[in-house]
Amino acid sequence: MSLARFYRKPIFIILLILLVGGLTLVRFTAQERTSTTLIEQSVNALFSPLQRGVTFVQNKLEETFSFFGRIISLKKENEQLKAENERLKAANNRLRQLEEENWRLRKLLFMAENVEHKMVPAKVIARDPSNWFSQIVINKGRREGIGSNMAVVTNEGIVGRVIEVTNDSAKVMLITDNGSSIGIRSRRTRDLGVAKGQGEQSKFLLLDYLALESDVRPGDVFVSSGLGGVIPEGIVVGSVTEVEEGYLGLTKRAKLEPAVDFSKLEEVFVIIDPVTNSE
Amino acid sequence: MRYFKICLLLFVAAVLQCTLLARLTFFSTQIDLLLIIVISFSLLNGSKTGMTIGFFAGLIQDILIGRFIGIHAVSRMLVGYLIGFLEHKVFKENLIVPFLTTFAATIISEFIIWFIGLFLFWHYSFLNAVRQLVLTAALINAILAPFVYNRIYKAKL
Repeated sequence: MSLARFYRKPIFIILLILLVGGLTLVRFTAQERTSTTLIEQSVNALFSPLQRGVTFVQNKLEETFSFFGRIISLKKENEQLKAENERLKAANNRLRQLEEENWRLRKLLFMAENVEHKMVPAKVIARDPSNWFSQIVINKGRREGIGSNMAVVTNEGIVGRVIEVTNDSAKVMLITDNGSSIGIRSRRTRDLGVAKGQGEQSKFLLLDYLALESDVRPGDVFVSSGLGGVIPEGIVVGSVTEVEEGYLGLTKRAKLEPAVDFSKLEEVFVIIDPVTNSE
Repeated sequence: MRYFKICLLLFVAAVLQCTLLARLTFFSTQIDLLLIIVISFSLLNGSKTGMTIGFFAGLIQDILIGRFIGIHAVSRMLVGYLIGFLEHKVFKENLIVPFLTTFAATIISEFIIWFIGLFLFWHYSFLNAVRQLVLTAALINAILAPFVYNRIYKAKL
């Protein structure tokens, strides 16, 4: 017994040292950081090519299997797409006319046209496997001009923002993460609110601080308001699924379904020009 | 040579966990291969090995993909330390042992992360998390644990 105690004593001291060291690291890294340490950069540089390799092979395998799986339904899908194409062509013509009209009216109102953003395409090479955080790693970093707090998007809508950058990779906090909140605006009613992530436990966002008199309804699409100074305005965030009374009945809150399907995220774009509001 | 093999195992497991396994979701949860490896080493080699491997496995994961570096390092280290006390108290050949310990260890590990997270910024209810994710994650890890444990046991690492 005394031998066992003797043996356990140094372990306990090591355990305490590691515990204090670990918790200090957590405290230190919990603050917003503009740069990463040399150790982090080295580990990421070591792992990044492997993550790229595994993700590449995985994507190729998934593509191949899904191709063979879908070959039977491709003919039917092709016919449907042709019909849809015709329909879309007609709709496109109508929209072009509306766009021209919109542009003319904007000019009349002396409003700036929507800014085309400078974007860098990137591939998702890793995902956070934990049950508490929603993050991804992309294969582009400082070398391509990516920096902290830049917005990450897809053609469907907003994905998140860059929180850490190394030379060849960057960590992106998804809008579903518990630490994420973005200023948003209803496309239809122009009501403002804040979309908060709820972590891995819910795929929905919490749309909070909606004015009590706002007329937000299920189906309404919300876009980024650009008011936070991080995410440019006008990027689709998601659509409302449920509206309810907020805290103490002073505001309204709603459930927002993100426009982006995060489970199928493979390619993203990082907006690398500074945020400018056109309104 | 033994340390090299363990490092290589952790290295490969960390890459797989952030890439291949992170895409395989079962009821919104993923397999925690690194945790299963930590538990296996703890059961087979005791607290000292368990906590050391736990610390470094968590640290690699934190650096690679985590936001708060050290959060998984601390949780895996403590779990590795605790499970290591069972080293001489259980039959190592019995595959029910890794199943049950991994189930319990997943819940303890998630509780530690949640507890540290309370001091940082979040406001989750742990009971809600248990209902929605943790129990499923514990079950999935527990099902996979005997296979991983058996490989490590036979490899005599």
